[in-house]
Amino acid sequence: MEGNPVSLPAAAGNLSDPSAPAGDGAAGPGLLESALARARRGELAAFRELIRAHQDSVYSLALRMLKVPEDAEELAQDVFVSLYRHLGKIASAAHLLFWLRRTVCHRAIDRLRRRPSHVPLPLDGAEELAQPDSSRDPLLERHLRDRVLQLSPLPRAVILLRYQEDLDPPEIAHVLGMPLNTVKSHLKRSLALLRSGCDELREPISAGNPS
Amino acid sequence: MRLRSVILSCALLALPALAAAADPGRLQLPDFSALSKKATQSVDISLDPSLLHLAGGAIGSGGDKADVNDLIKGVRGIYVRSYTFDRPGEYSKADVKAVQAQLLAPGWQAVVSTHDLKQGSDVDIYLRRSGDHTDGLAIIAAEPRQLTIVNIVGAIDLARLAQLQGQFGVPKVGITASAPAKNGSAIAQTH
Amino acid sequence: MTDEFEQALRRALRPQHPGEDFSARIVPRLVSSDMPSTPAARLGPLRLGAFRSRWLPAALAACVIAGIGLVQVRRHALDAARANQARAELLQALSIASDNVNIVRAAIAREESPDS
Repeated sequence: MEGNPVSLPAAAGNLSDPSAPAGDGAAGPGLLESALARARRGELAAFRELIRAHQDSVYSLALRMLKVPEDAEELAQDVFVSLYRHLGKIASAAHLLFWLRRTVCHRAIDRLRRRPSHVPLPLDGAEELAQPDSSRDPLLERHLRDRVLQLSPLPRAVILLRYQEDLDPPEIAHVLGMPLNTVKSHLKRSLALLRSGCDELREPISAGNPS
Repeated sequence: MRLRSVILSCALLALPALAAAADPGRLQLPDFSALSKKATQSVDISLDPSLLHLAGGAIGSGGDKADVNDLIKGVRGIYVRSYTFDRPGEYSKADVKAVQAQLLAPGWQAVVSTHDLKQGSDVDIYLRRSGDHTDGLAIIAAEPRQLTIVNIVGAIDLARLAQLQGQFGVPKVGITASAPAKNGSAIAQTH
Repeated sequence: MTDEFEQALRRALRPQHPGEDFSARIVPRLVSSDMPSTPAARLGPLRLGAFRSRWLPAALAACVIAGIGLVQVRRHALDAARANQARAELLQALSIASDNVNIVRAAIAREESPDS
């Protein structure tokens, strides 16, 4: 019996966000719980499974917050190293996801506050090249990404958690530790900003959309 | 040579009995790996005396934390199996009966049972007593979409255990064992 | 219109892969994460003869002691991880047991209330 894998259910209350969706990777919730339990026992291979399950989400949040791929890579690595040190305090796979999102957002915001306000966007369009070429309107999507990068750090984090991570406003408020009304206010203003200046780019979608 | 193998066989056969005698409050929990694969959430915890000691040290001391260590000072092991499923019928009565059969052994006594006919859920608490002290606790909570078995080896104060919920950072876990409704519930039988 | 825009925004913000060997780049940092980083010492030119006779035995002894120390550090880190794991499991187990005891107590209280 002692040799069985250990897994814990999502804990409610202030330890985790039980409504958070599963991680990036294809691993189901049971497999992630198992990997977490094995990682807590010191299995490095299990910890690598956790990294692979969440690396897309963590790296993308870091990249879209910090804009510079090298900085994003460093931040993402720092977050996972920190996770390794704090594994004993992670109660479940859902808690893990909550912890990662919260840590990467807060550290990115801290770095941005210490950094000069204007950081030129990378010229090589590294993110665009990495995207699969299956989008319906790559021009609009690139424009949207650029506009998101121009938002202030906190509203940008709110937009990313909403539209990249697919969190609801209460979940975003929980991750960022801000009032729900503030989240809603950021969402409303940011969406209006993003939408403005996109009208001429959105026309092809409306015209071409069969639905 | 033959005598030696007979002695060895007897010793091997006696081992489970010796183990049970050493730890009479411990249940032999079945292999639930098949249930674990079907479950959307599963808990599989086995804390023997050494791990309990390790855990107690990690909890720390002083103030409220001392209460947790005080609560488990008479405990020699904690074993939990809990499985939550998407739909009813994913586990069978046979899975539960394998554990319940052990609770018919001398020393074990059902102290309270709740049966909710409407919800189809049962929660039974058993204590094992040796003389005037307790050396085992078992909880079986069987709901349509969740099965939970808890075995605490040694002595633990039930009242203090009940008060622990929500304290000391003990998370309120998603145990959805719904409290039996007033209507349609066959009521607790206190033995 | 709003839904189309938000769908476009979701597509634009699809998570991006950091590269195939991202996790492999992290692992060396995990292994050394408990070890204090030390700046590399700048070594002057070595006079091997003097080094061998005077410093080599001490250097070898220092390496052995450092190696033992690293093993101890690693073991302590693993022990701490195991203790934390055991702590989390203990609290989880107690919480599950507590929940179920309270379910029974609530049922009894309901049954024994005058209104039942």
